[in-house]
Amino acid sequence: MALLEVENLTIQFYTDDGVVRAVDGVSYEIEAGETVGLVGESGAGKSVASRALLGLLEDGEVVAGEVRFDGRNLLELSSARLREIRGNEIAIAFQDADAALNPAYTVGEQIAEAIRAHETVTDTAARERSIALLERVGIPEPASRYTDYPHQFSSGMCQRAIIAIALACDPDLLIVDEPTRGLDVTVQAQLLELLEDLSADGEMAIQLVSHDLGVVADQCERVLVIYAGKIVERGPVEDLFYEPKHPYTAGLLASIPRIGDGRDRLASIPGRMPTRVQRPTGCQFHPRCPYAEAVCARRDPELVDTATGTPVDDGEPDREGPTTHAAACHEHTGDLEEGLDYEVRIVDSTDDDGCGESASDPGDDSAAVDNPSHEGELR
Amino acid sequence: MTDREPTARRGRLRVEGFESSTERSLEDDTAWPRSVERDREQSRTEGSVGRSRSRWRDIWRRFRSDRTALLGAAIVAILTVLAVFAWPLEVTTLGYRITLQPFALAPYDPGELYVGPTNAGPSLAHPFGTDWAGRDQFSRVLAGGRYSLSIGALAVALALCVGVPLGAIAGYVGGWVDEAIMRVVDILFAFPFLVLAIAIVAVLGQGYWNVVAALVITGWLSYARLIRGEILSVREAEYVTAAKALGASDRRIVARHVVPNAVAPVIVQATLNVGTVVLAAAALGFLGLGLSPDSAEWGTMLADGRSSLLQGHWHITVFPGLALFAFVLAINLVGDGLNDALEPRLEDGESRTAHRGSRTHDVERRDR
Amino acid sequence: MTDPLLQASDLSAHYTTTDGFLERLLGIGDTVRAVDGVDLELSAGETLGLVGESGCGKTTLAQTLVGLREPTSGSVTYRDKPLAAWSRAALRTNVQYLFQDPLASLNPQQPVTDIVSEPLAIHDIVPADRRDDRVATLLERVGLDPLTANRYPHAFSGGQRQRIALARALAVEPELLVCDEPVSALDASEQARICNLLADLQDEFGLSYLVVSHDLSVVEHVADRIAVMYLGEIVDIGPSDALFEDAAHPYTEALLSAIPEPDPCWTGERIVLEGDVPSPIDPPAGCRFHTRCPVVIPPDEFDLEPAAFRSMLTLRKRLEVGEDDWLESLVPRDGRHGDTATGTTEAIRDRFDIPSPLADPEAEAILERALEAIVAGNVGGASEQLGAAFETPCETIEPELQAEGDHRVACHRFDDDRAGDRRSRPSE
Repeated sequence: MALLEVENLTIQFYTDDGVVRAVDGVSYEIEAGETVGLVGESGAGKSVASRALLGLLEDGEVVAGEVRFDGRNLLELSSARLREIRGNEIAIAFQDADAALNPAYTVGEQIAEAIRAHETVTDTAARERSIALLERVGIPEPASRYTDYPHQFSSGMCQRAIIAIALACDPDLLIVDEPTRGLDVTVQAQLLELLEDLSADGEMAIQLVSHDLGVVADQCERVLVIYAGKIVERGPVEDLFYEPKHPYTAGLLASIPRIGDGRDRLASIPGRMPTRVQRPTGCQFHPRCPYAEAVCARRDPELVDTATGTPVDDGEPDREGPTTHAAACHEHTGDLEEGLDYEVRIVDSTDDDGCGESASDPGDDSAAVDNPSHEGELR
Repeated sequence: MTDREPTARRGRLRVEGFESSTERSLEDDTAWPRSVERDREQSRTEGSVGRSRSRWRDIWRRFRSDRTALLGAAIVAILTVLAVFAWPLEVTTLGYRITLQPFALAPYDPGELYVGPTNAGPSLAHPFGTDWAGRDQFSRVLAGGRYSLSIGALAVALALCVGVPLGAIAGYVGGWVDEAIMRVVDILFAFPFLVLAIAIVAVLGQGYWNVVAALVITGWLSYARLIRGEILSVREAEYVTAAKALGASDRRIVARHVVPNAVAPVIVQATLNVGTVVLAAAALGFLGLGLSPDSAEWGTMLADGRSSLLQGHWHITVFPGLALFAFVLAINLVGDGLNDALEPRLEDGESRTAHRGSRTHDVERRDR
Repeated sequence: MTDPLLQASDLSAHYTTTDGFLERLLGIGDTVRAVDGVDLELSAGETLGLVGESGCGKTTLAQTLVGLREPTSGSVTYRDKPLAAWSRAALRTNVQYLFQDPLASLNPQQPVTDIVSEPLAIHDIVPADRRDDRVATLLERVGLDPLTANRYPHAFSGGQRQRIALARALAVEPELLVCDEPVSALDASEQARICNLLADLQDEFGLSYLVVSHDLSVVEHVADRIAVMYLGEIVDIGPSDALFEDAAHPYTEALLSAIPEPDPCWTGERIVLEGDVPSPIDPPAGCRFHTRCPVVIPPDEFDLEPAAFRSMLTLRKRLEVGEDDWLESLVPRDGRHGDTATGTTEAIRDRFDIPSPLADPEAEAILERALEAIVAGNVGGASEQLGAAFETPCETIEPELQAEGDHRVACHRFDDDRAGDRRSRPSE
């Protein structure tokens, strides 16, 4: 049994314009100690799904699904029991650290407060543990920083303090929501080192919610790609980056600027994600998908094992474990006639200076190796 | 998987072939933007831009869609009409009598004594009953709106005339002028609003214009402070810098960008203040510091009814009180509606949910 | 290089922080040296990227370059004519500015038509009756449906708002467009489309761009040349390929190495800079980066590893700050009272990652004396001792931008008399 099992989680928002389904039947699991990335653009539902795990939705409602943590369904727990779990077993480090810290209390008090919320400790013990936590998240001179107010911290340090609060009671699962958004790269680097350290001892599982594919590639073992409230692709991080099986994932990977790849133009996904009440029929991505065919508008594809084409979300415990590379695209059930016409090329690492040239000359086979395992699917 | 060897090279991984055919080709209109004529042709065939609507029409459209605000506006309108047409309006100058408004909705002269029994309860002849001097309460409540409403409107309008220019000057000019004006505001703010008004009336004496003056002197402060703050923040707003970057003149920036954005909260505040001022006028009247005791002003009527209330004549205080209540409530509804209407950002549900979403942090704080 | 379109020489922009009446009255307030002695030129048709962390003064520089802020000293010329000599109308129809936050830069009370037609009205470019048509064309050109022109800015997505701002800037048919963080608030797919749109517009109208961003990967993609800014100064400038491939300023290398590569098998070394950017109110003397530089130059007299010297310098800087309450927390509390002094010096070495002992015995002796002084409570003396013994050119002499291969770098490691082994990259 996995540490966290989310099954068919469905969340709706009621707005003036009607019902918005922000999360639509999301299922995934996180094993103890692993780092799982939730990737998607803003509005995809990744933050909402993360908050719903702990019952922190303000005006959304979980209309279906189960969230099992250590075998207990969190959605059925009383609010008192849920409060015990919050922070103690599952903790969230929110994005926008400046807003998540209370400006009226010192940073140290806020960490001590998080400890006291779950344990009966003396003030001195809480203080000492808070200082130890500040040190653990890499804040220099923690003892003198304990009495600083949030405005005396830089944005990178605020983000660390938020993580320190989340770590206060040694959670088994840490949800980190966009830890690097709005931070400078040098500060981001410090923070990524910290996250690496935290996951290194293998005791704490981390659910990393991010829009930044670089951060996800760097930190995660497995990745879930969310589009319009649904998981469209999931798999081990290497498979996902080297053999994206869903056109949305491929589009995302193609649209990010990569240093040194010498491209003149970035590929782009046209249009916008459907965020409002009116949803497209069939596959949510088909209006933006360059490979869409008639079937895509008719039928919503299931998440299937890309190797076998069998559904992975049949309610049965996943026999092959959560490492199956699965994607929700008709291509993998053989329903697309034209197929997916993209490829992942890896510029050979021995080709040291021809980086720019090989990109402009796709016929140069010596410089590029087509991904062999992907070739079978290209028609 | 030889191709997945660890590497320190950047940009090794490339996804190719994901080019969408639906992206609009850009080669078609290479002549742009020099050929205006062609542009016009094109936009004619493709459906032209909707004419830009006026800002006030947009505001009215948004206001209209708010039912409670419309209800408030309707109540205010009805009370105003009733007040104006309650009794003929006459002005006497140099011995001539000019009748400005000949209609009389009120069944009796509101000032006439003993039109019925004294302290009579509501009846068909006198729906709101009569007071201690046998005056018809219904006529008095109708006509009394004249005093209350006009004091409210006048005092707020005059306070705006004083407060907005002073606050605007303070905000724009800054420096010593700002300091001087704002310190005066601070000093006056140090007195409780009503106490200051009472003191002023006590000095100036009773009377309609003296009450208005007292309310203006105490009322302009909040507008000055509000508009100054708005102007300071709008002046720093990036769209003002953006307008400067476009080469807009100062006059244009003030007219198009600063005023429309700074004035909206003032309009809302002023609307809400009409209610406050009417209440304050009534309070002054109740304390015997307003108009002369026999005038049909709602606050004065309440003061008159105080003694009758002890004798069990509830109707003498309840009806003017209800009128006051209805008017202030209606004004508040209108103010809230205006607040939403003047803010285009609140137009659709999406942004409203977004606003709410940003507050979830705080919730978590409390939960922890 | 062809005649520069825009040129700044020795440009400085300082501003004073004063809040409140009393401070102004007493003339108290700190001078923020946001931009300090910058030389920069931009040729017609090129894209110059300006990269730096938040607070390094890049936005102030960009706004000063286009005359939205007054420079404190130095000059900016556009087409060989000082900015002040240009009429407002002429300057604004040639140079346009795209603001960081598209939503904040669009007046919330104006519908899109009014926003985009405003420059047309200001400069009377198109007669009033044809403005709506021109707005439609502009909107279409940036990829927006003209039928949405009656909506207000809040009704659009981030990318669409940036397109509205772009349409407004293009309305005057400018030659130079300064884009301040054009894509940093956008999602990956919108980011790519705005980048492509900017490239298309450049091809079509021969625009020149100054792209200001904290995101190196975006700047590398769009820019022909890149200038790297640190604490108000340009420390590194050159063609984008050269900047990333050759030895460059240690700050550039750190910035570059910190970008997470979207490749799970990437194993490149991440250079993590210690501490935060110092305050621009009182920037460090000498090279402004020396307080964080991982390859700060050790004094010639000693044979020290760069890393060891870096640690000692960090310790010294910490001692100079004063506030020695942090020292107390380093005193070992395990009860071995007899050994407190040795324990504390070891703890200080630990805290600052100083090897024990140092490779150079002479240096070790000086350090040991200084550490003992700290334990004895003489923090000022210790910092003076260390300062006198281990002085580095980085903290005394301000480096000038000098040609190094294709680009120009302001770093003492590239001084002619220091050429040689110090050119090695810090990651090696």
